[in-house]
Amino acid sequence: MRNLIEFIYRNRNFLVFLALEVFCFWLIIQYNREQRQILFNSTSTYMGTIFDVYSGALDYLDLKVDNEQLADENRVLRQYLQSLLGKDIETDSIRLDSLNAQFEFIPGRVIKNSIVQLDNMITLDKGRVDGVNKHMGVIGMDGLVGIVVDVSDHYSVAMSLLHRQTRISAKLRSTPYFGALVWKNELNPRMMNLEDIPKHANVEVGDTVETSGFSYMFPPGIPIGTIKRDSLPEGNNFYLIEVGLMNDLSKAEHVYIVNNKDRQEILDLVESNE
Amino acid sequence: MTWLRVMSKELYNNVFRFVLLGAFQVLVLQQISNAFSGFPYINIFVYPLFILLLPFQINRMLLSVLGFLMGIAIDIAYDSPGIHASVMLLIAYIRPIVIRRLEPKGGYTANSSPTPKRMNWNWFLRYSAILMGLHLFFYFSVEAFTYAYILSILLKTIVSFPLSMLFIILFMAIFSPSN
Repeated sequence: MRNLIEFIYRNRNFLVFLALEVFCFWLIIQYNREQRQILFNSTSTYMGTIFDVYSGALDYLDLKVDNEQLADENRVLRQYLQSLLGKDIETDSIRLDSLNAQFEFIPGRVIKNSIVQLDNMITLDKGRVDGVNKHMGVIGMDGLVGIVVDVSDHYSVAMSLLHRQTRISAKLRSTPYFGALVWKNELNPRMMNLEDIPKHANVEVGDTVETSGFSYMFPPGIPIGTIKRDSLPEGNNFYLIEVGLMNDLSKAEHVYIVNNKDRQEILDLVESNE
Repeated sequence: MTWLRVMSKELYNNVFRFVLLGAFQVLVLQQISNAFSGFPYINIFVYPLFILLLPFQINRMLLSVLGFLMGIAIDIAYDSPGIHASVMLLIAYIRPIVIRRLEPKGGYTANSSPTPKRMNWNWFLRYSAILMGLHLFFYFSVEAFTYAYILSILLKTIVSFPLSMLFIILFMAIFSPSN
């Protein structure tokens, strides 16, 4: 017993170091394994407020670019509206457009962003109070941004597309084949990979990749990017496809959080089957 | 009572350094990294300087705890629980070994800190280069969590090292801490 106490006392520095290090790795593994709500992250009110004020101040620096982007988006929407108004809508049958009604968009602002880490996260200035919930998709003006993984009352944290655990159901616009969009090339924040496209599909460089609509997080048909390179290695049943993203995630600022109104129902159904 | 005054001045200096380096890291350097979207190897870290500049004779356990605290503070801002903390702990633990290795012939003066003013620039550069090199390599390793990414770990370390050292040298030249 005395020897034990002596041993502990002699190695006290190393033991403290070891205990803290074990704690750190517990944190890392806990956080990486499941994006579960964890004590330390920037949704906590203090950090959220600091970044909110700070990014609010920085926002003034690129107001001009923002305005141009918003004006451009307005122009596209206006053109679309015009084309709809000009159309004679046939009324010989009841129009059941469930898609338009199914998705709601909550506008939000990115208050903290990162692209240099391997698992990048984005903090948004909308939270539970604004109707944001876990597992909602986040889209930008010209592409996808990420998926909400953590919500506090006034802020939320989204897993960026640039995260090793991102898997988003995506399809080629010209074919019915779909696969999973993942981030493999951790050194290039504008390039992602599309996996699981079978070899009998017809894949061309330049094809548009869009959301498939098979997950409840994103509406179908949102363009994600274009195919930059594809190859079919010998003996492989699936293409290796590199997708150049439409949007530059480092510049994501005004985003929309996608609320699927049937989200809870789908989640309950999936859960009851497990 | 003189030692008490020295102690409290030292405490004040280090608390100030903790806040200043933490804020600079998060509010300036993190934003710089985000600005270079075409070149995401740019990670600049100066906050380890907090551990580097603590007095020579600091208690080893206190050194570990302070390293851990600085790391956790950075982790909260970077949304990376545990990563910076584990690396800072390691650096804090290795520091006394590096200091013993680099001990000059006459030994170290009592109540002093490892600064270029107290030692000399040559000594300080060697000291900080060893610890910063280790810090960056361990950081990118722990972040990847597997050596499957070894090439990108090395590449990021090699690019970040000169940039981080540049900021450390600038910091030391501007503030020129003495004790």
